[in-house]
Amino acid sequence: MINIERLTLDQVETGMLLAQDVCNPNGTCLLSEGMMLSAAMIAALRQREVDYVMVSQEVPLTLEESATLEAGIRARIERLFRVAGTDPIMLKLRNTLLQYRLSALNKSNSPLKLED
Amino acid sequence: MSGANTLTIEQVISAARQIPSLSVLVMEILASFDKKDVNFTDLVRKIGRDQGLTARVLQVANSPFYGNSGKIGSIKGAVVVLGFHNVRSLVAAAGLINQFPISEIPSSFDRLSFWHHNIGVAVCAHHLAKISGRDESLAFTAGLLHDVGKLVLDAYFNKNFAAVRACCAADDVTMVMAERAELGLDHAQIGYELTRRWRFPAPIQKAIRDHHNPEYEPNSLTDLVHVANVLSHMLDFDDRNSDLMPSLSVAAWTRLDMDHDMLPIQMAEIERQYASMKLLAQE
Repeated sequence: MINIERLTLDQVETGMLLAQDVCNPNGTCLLSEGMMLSAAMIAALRQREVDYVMVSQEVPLTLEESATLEAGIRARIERLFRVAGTDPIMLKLRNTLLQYRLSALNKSNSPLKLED
Repeated sequence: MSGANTLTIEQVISAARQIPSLSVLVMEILASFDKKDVNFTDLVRKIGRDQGLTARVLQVANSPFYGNSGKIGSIKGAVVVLGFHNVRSLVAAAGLINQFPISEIPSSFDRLSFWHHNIGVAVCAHHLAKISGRDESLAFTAGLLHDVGKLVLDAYFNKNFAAVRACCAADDVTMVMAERAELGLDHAQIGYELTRRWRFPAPIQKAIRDHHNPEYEPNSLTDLVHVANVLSHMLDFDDRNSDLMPSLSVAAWTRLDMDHDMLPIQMAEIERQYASMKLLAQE
């Protein structure tokens, strides 16, 4: 899961991804969203007296969280397709959507898998 | 059919006449979709003079999807990076969305969510057109406006439309089915009348008319919008007005030669594009 946090320059580490553009008080954009912070960038921000930045971090889900999300995905798909019945092409779409959503869930959850 | 909420096509046409015409610029852009000899430079200059449209387009062009955060400052710059055809589609989209302000009248129909679904269909149709070698601009615009008839209902026949939504909830049916039962006509017919009045390219008019019934007069643009509508519901681009999958026409799917196994890859790309494109509609 992606977690977005507001960190001060003392808390940020190199390699973190910016979740928002970093601008100085008069609105000039210094760094843009999506950039990976390097030591040089952090030093430059410090020089320009930027106090904090928004960063996004991948946080592995616990097994319980992951089971809750999976149940949510299944329930949502059940709801969307509730009147589709046994129409073969709708069943196929439904199955494709389920695999697609679950694989996205597993991908965002891979760090935990590795530890297991 | 003679319920309390029944509408005639004449009532709808006379309501459509009250809708202000599109701006000259948007009309000119729409007309250019059909033309081979378009004066690009002239059109870009005209677009650049409209500050509102320019601002919306730059917002999308500068979104993370295109990787140009904050770098594009003019329509000319957007054309260089995105290409004329994409910019033209974006401008047309921004102009059409402006035509129906999001919070014009109080209603339980969620217009922002409406536009999100329609932008979703536009993105899907554009992507499907691209991978199958069909006209992307037409597909984008037809997708964007495929449900415009619902806005006519919301704006001019608010009471009837409320009854339609009550019927959707009570009988758990799609909106098009509830409209046929309550009104005796549906948003696809209304959209057709409106886009005829606005002199949209004929294939767009027909795609809007037939998007729930692609067998009526088979056409590749209609098939694209029909399939795109199903995909957009599947990907939950509109979760507030409807969460019921419309049925998919196997014939339309087959005519487009869709490869089912590639669908997950297409969906991932469509979701990425949608995240940027939804910036076209904001409160």
